[in-house]
Amino acid sequence: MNKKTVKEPFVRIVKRPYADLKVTVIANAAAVVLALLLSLLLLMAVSGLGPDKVLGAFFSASVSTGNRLLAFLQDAALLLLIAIGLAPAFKMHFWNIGAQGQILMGGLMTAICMYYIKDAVPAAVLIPVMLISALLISGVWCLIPAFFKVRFGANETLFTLMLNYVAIQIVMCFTDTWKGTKSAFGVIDRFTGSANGYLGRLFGIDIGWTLLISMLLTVLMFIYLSRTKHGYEIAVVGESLNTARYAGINDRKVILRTAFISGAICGLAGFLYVSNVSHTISAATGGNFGFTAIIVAWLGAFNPAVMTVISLLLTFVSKGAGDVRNLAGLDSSICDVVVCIFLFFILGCTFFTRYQLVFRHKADKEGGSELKAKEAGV
Amino acid sequence: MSAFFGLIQSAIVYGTIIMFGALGETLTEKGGHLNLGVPGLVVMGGFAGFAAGFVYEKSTDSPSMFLLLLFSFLAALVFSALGGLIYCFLTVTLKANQNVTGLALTSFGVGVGLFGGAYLSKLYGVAGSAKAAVTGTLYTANLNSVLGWGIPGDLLLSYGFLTYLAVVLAVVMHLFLNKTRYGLNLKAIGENPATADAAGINVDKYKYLSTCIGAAICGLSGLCYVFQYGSGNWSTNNNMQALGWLAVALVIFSTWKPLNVIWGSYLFALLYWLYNYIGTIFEIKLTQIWTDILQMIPYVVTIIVLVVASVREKRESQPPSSLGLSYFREER
Amino acid sequence: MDKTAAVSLHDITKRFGSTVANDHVSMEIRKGEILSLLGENGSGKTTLMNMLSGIYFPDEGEIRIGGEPVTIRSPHDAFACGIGMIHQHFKLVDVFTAVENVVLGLDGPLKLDLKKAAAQIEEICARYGFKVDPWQKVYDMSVSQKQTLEIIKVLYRGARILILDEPTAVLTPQETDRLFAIIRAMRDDGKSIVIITHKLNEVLAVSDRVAILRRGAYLGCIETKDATEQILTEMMVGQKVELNIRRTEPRDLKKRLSVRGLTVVGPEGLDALEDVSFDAYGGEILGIAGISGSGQKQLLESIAGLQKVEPGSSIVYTAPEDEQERQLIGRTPLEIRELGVLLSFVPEDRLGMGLVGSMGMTGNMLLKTYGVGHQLFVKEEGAKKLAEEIMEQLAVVTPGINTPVRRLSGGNVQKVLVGREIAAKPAVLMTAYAVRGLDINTSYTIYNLLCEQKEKGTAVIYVGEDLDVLLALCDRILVLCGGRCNGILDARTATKEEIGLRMTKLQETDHE
Repeated sequence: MNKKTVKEPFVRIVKRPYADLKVTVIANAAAVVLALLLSLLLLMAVSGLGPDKVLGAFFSASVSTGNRLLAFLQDAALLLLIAIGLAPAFKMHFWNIGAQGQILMGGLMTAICMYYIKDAVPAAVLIPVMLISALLISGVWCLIPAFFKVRFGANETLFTLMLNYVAIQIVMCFTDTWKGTKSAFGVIDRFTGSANGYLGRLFGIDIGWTLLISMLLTVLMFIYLSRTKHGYEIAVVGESLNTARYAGINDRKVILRTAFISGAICGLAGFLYVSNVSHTISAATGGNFGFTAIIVAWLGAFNPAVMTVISLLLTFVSKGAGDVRNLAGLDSSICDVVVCIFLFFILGCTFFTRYQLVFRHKADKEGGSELKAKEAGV
Repeated sequence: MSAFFGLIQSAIVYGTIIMFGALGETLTEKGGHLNLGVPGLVVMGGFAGFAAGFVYEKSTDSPSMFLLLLFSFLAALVFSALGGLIYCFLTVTLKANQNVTGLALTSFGVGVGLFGGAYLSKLYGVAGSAKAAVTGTLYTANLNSVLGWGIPGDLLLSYGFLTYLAVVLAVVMHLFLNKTRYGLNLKAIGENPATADAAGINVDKYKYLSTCIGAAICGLSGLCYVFQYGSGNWSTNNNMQALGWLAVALVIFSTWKPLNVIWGSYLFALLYWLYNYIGTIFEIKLTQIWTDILQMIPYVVTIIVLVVASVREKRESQPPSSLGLSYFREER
Repeated sequence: MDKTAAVSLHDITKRFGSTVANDHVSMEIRKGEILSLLGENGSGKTTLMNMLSGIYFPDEGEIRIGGEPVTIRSPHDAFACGIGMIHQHFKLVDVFTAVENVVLGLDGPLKLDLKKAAAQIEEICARYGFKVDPWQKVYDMSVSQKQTLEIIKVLYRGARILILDEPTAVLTPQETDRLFAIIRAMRDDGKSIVIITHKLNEVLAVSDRVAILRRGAYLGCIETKDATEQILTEMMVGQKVELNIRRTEPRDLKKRLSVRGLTVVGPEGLDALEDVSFDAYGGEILGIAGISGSGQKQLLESIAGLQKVEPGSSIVYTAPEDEQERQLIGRTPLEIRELGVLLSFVPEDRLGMGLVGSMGMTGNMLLKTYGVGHQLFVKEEGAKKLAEEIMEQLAVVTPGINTPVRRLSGGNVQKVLVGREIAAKPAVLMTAYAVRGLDINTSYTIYNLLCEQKEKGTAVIYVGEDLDVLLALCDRILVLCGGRCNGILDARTATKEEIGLRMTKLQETDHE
């Protein structure tokens, strides 16, 4: 047996007794600033444009004209709506990463109603039918993995992930049939000759309904999670299944119900895509939003207010990068890269809000006493 | 009959792509990390390999075959390993959530790959998609064209070296996980990191290595797609990403066993290509809808395997116990 | 016995947040001795030893091995120093075989030679008298087999200093005897052994010296041959155990709970409870004694509707308002509550079962009442008032009633939990290890609350581990032994020895 003499570790990680608001704000602000710097440098490098042009395009992309503002709000609203749908499931520690599939199923159901019913019934009947069927199918799409989780303990992360691809294939079954000999299934009324089922303008804005519904759902979800009995149950189940059982909460029922709600809200996003935003359905409907929304919900700590800020930030960044790429004639995927830079930085900074570093030598004097002081100050 | 052989050949070529991805992810998941960034890593690896081959081909009139191979192969490994490093730094050192980080990595990797490919085309003024044709021939070169063994040769020897490398890698990984000290240590970390830590294993080091090496192997998947399947054509469709998700599914399907990955990947690819051959083999006419349904099968089968494994509760078929959880020694 | 020190600790301090787990501890472990590290729950024994085994790193102080200072940053360093620890919660990989667990983390050639390792394990087994099949999977092993495997693991690594954390907590008396024989055999082989424990009889039975910790501080070390239970207890608790609990004579006894033939199958397929029968009366405190894991958890959880019980079991509750009998078996906690059963339960796992750590006091007050009424929203007003009352009456130290209870200290957490359960005006109040980890003052607050409840006519069931407390607080004591009821004694006449004996050995004669 050799006797090793090694140095005391240079830095040790200590868990914070609780989150410190000041630290949280500083860490997140620092992350955003760093990500912004890195993104702008990257954009300048690949576009070959000067800082003035890049900065100008980046910051004006979302706000310079009314149409741009609307496009910005549309993306932010849809992203937020999906994240709002995921929040209750995540808060309950149910990893629904099947948002994309749930959006597709909801959108598909909407399109099916429009495609087959056409003008047979008035819009006042058709739209509720579309909406309800979209909510139901998407709710069920999330309920299936939830059922297998509570019944057999099947891993819901992997299950919901797989269901995304099943949904993509189902959508393709329909669109491939509908398109016939055409190269792609496009705007629905061009195929059916009927625009019945489209949500019209609201407040004179094409996507008025999308904006209104997203805002409404955000407020409702905030109330649902923080004030209602259901919200209380979700919080308890997410914290500890044992506590939930002890409290007499039927944990299985809560998981199934919340999964259904989560899926249904994602289905609502799908409904809006088809009926209000793009007026078509394809495997690409929803794009990356189903996945980005997961990150939004997580980073926003399931708090609808924080999630709103994050959706706006990410959409702003994406639009800004989009304008720079337009100027320089680059590929659109640069937007995803820039958004991901922000995600990585914000994800990384959560570490500093949950843990703190204690350096060698300082450990005795500062690390310990600082913690002590904080604890005592509580 | 020839249609049937064609199906087998397609399945083996395509299966190789899935196999690399699944092997890389198996290694990562054995260390307790669910890396949902596989599709991103596949695209990153494919792009880097392609870029190395393409740029070198463009830079000289008579490229050295050896250097082409070396550059493209290393580029794929290193670039996707760097992707793995980002994931690792965030999830191991900064203890960020694995699902969220993995999804961000997928988005990032796909973005970087697609952007890079388009950027290269623009840089070299190539209209449409760029092609690294010479490098492509290296990866599709096979013994059968030399030996000419007829049908057995077509079936067994008509593939580029990556196909055989994938199988060898699967066997090596099986031996590593089950017969070596380090494999045992890695599995222990995935099962119970606190125990592994108490046994004196450097948990973070293993996690970093298994995740980065796993990511590098995923990168080979993209390399295989671009050069062996695509003969050096850079493609901008979503296939590579979809194959990445199939690889994630295959890890579950194989119940985390590398030897199952071998036949599983061929099976998945067979199901994927069935639509193309089933009409000819059975002399029936298939509509497009059947293609879509057949391509759904791998995911549905994976779900069934996932459910059956949880119903049976067989300890050896379960995911590593601490999959998806970060580890902090002084957690109390 | 060789008197040179194998390991010595100098001025070791370790803090967790504001609590000082170890306060300038200096002590030594000699070669070839069995040292007992004695102290109450929460006195810092395990933390101290975890610094030797590399799990924690000391904030201050120095560790010397054979006189030379060493730094133990990780378990790996600990092994290199010849230190091996057997944790209370076993550190084994369930899906691995015994031999795989033993070689885990060791340096050596790339290829694993499990056969050779298995042969070496069998050699160790033969040397010390272990019985373990190297090829058995850990998930198929009994608790005692797992513990043996842990010891083998440490010996295989050539440890000269073995630390065992509460090794007998989960063992039957026979298994304990076997363990002690093994420990002696290892000592005679020249190893140093540290046993972390709070059981005096074991200290006296097996060790050569006893080191005592009290609330993180080292009080000294005495030779076991000079020690008596009295001396050790005094050192451990700091004063003569004169528990000053105000126990009144039970009066107006009314049967509230009648348990008959309660049988529960535990997680390993063995009977966790077997044919347990007893009555609990309003106006008395019924104590439940037993080695930890003797079925206490299952007993309380069965009554609360949280356990699946076997057919033939019966739990009948008699309501105080109408003296109607109600069967509780087969009902969920919610159904039991809706039946009008006034049952309160302070579970052992406070933050993992009794409370929601992320919620404040207000949110936690709502845990069992949030669902009352048909309205959609949770009514917070009553809960807020209740939280404020409890905070005031029980002197809960918290920045506010909305501060997450996870941030509170252990004693305050328990006050919140007990306060809520008592506020529900229960007819039956069950508590599991209600004072575990609490300081003396808070413990007395809890004892007084329980006595008050008893005087109000509540049937109190108190599961405890400290026999002195059980004897001073309760009226009757039910002793559990291996999941069976091993007699119900009158707490006023019973002795500690009698209870201790019944905890470890089934009395066939008076078994119902």
